[in-house]
Amino acid sequence: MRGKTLLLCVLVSVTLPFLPLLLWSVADKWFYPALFPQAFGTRAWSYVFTTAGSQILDGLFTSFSLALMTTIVSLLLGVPAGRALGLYDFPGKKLTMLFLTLPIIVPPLSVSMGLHLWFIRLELAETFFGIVLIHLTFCLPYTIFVIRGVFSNYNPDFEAQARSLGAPPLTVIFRVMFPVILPGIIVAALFSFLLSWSQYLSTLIIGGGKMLTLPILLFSLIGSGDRPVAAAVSLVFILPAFLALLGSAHYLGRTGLKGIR
Amino acid sequence: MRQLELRNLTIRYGETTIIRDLSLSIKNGEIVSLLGPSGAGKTTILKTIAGLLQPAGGQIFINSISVNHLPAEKRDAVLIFQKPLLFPFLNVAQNIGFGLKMQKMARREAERKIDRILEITELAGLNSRKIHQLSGGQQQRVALARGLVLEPAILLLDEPLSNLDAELRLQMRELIYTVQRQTETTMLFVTHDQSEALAISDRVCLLLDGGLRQTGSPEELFYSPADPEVARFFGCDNIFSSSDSFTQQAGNFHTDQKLFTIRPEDVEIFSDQKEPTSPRHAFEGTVTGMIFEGRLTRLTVSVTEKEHVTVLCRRPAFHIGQTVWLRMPKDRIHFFP
Amino acid sequence: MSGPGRKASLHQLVYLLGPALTIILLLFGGGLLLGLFQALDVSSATGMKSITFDHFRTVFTDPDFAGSIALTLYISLTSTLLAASISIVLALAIAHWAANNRIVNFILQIPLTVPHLVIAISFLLLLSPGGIFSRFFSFFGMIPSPSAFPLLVNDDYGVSILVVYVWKEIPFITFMLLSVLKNLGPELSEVGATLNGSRLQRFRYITLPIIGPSLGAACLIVFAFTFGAFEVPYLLGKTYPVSLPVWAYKNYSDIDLLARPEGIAIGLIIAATITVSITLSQVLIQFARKRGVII
Repeated sequence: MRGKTLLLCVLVSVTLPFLPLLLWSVADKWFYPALFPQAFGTRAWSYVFTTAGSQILDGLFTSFSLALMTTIVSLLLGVPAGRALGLYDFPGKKLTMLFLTLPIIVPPLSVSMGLHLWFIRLELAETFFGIVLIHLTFCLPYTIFVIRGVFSNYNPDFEAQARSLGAPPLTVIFRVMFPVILPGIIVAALFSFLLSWSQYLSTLIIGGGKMLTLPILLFSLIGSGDRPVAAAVSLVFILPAFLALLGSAHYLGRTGLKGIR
Repeated sequence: MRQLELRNLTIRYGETTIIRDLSLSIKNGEIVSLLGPSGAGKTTILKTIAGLLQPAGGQIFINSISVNHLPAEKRDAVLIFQKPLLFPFLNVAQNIGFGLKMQKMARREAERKIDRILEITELAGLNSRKIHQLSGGQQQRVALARGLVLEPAILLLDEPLSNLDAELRLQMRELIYTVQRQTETTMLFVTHDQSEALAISDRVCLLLDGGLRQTGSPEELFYSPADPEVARFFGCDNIFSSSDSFTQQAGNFHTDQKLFTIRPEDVEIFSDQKEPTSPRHAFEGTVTGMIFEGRLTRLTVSVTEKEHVTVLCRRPAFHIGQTVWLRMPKDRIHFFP
Repeated sequence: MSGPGRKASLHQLVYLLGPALTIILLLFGGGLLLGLFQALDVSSATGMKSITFDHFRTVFTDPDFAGSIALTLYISLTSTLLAASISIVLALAIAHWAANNRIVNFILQIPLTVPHLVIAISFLLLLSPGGIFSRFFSFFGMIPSPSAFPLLVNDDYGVSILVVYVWKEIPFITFMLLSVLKNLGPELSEVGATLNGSRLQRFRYITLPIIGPSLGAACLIVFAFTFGAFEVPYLLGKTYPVSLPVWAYKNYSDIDLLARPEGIAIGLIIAATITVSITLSQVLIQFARKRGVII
């Protein structure tokens, strides 16, 4: 009984903020103080997919490719580093960890403003690659921490066993290590993807307004005051992450996404 | 010829030498156990033979070929770890077939081999079971099957019984023994449990202080230990010298100062001086300790103030403080070389 | 040789850690250092000779600085404390009544995936004077006019900012606590009960010390994030005073390029404040532990 009350409380508090987004995205006329829209319509949605279609869809594509690229690079660099920190003891390990927590606590804005001038000189500003780099400053440390956690519960004897059974080193990595840490890799990937996906200010500073990601488009929509369209784009903005959550919930079971923010 | 030979194997871990100058050879089809206390470096030896650790010195031959420079995956030796370490993302048959897949064996043939080994290890029908659906004993058997199926020149087993409870341990011990007889796989078996080693092996190698102390048949090590430490390892603390006062008194020992031992269960104990068949050779003592251990009771008999004899006997009718007579049959006494 | 504490060769470590650390050192360390150079007017042309603290001085002596840092601290401390307190209760409740309830687990994961920006927008639509709450109260006649609805957006107390942060951070902290509580099980608390500890005592001297490290880590991350975040206070905060990150960006993006180094200086002040306060809190906790305080 108490479990059900708890469930209800959590359900209501979590879903409440989605209510105005859903309502506004299908509202054609909704004047104060009407509790519900006076007229429903698909104006906002058709605007998103047709009138401004190319812009929103382009933004979706830009955001998606940025987040994907950032995630891939984060994993490629973060898995080895997380393995070193999770599995081995070495002098300077604590210092390394301390150093890696800094990019997590220091906001990207401080770093982006410092790097901007040099990115301009190196012709990295306003480029896809430049934004991937700035997103890496915080996505990579987060990835390393998730992967480190995975490796601290990992038994490397599995690898020794596989080698003794005749598996060469590369096969051990792909056939043994990779499947064992896969749930952790998925969490780290989602993590990195979401961080990059929802990033606004650092993209704006380094992209100089030229890289129109979804959050940047969304900001300008709020400025324009068109609530239905802003609500619809907001929903588009949360959709991929929500789908990823649905997909991972099945795959990760009870492990879930703990630790992601 | 399928065999393993170690020549002057030396293993270091960091600065400390764990194994010094160890030499050992194992014949085709033999089952040899490496017995030693925990932390003696037994696992390290197996890992070195398997190619997972590099020795600091010495040579390893498998099939009479030096394998020092071969990586683990190229050595014809398979190590079975203490934990089953079954890959959780593969089912039973896939786990057993892992090594065959690495050898790129044709699927038909691999399946045939897997089925046969499942039969031998009493796992028939479990092919597509998930790992987490298996009991501890089944997991251990799959681990054994996964090594056996590769028919390696030598199978290295690292305490495969230590994760099992008492009853399963006996079953698994039987299984390893029968499987070994059936497949004639050469095995090197590591354990800290003397009864395991004695029960299962053709030969026992006792590892103490980083080197082999004694190698021989189980009976040899048990009844004819090479030195007092070996005797103590097998639970015999009756180490005496022929110059000890009580042995002098008994009068049936050599006169030169030699150390000897007698198994506690071989010491005869009587409550009356007239009972022993040759009372001349019996000596007097007082029962000072008595511990009931189940099948046998462990008695401590003080023969002088400082000299004590441990006696194991069934259903003793003695009490602490009682005066008893002990006799050590001549043929049960073992003089250290 | 099993368990943690395995050794790796230097060669291996360089190969594993080298690329990641180089990237982070170059981008993060480089970013802060280059920012510092700009804020101090050090350039490749003039070198260290032109070093000046003018930009920092301008920021510190700005009459808005005190208000801005106070507002930022207020927002981050309040939202961290609120989120942490609710999370403790929620985590304990879930551990007790719904430890393996996959639905609760799933629902609670949703906020983790929603960007702050979207939540800021939806609370804007909920809490603003023309928002759904205001309509609700007005519809049922509980308030006479829109102007009678209390100001919750762009207001003096940053109510909507706090609501957004609390909504977003509770699941994060709760999951951090649950990962400890689930491994713990009820045994230790039962031991406490057999030792005659009251419910409150058991919480204070058994549960709290055990979740302490996770709670502390989660709070520090939340504090650092809310102190340095831009979107939410920008959208939902009032125009004066603004929070430090908003102020920094306003200066940085000013048409007057001379304001840019000041923006960078504020960015560095944010970074320094976060680093110093986190270090300080760690030192204080260590000190308290040495004195025998159970935290």
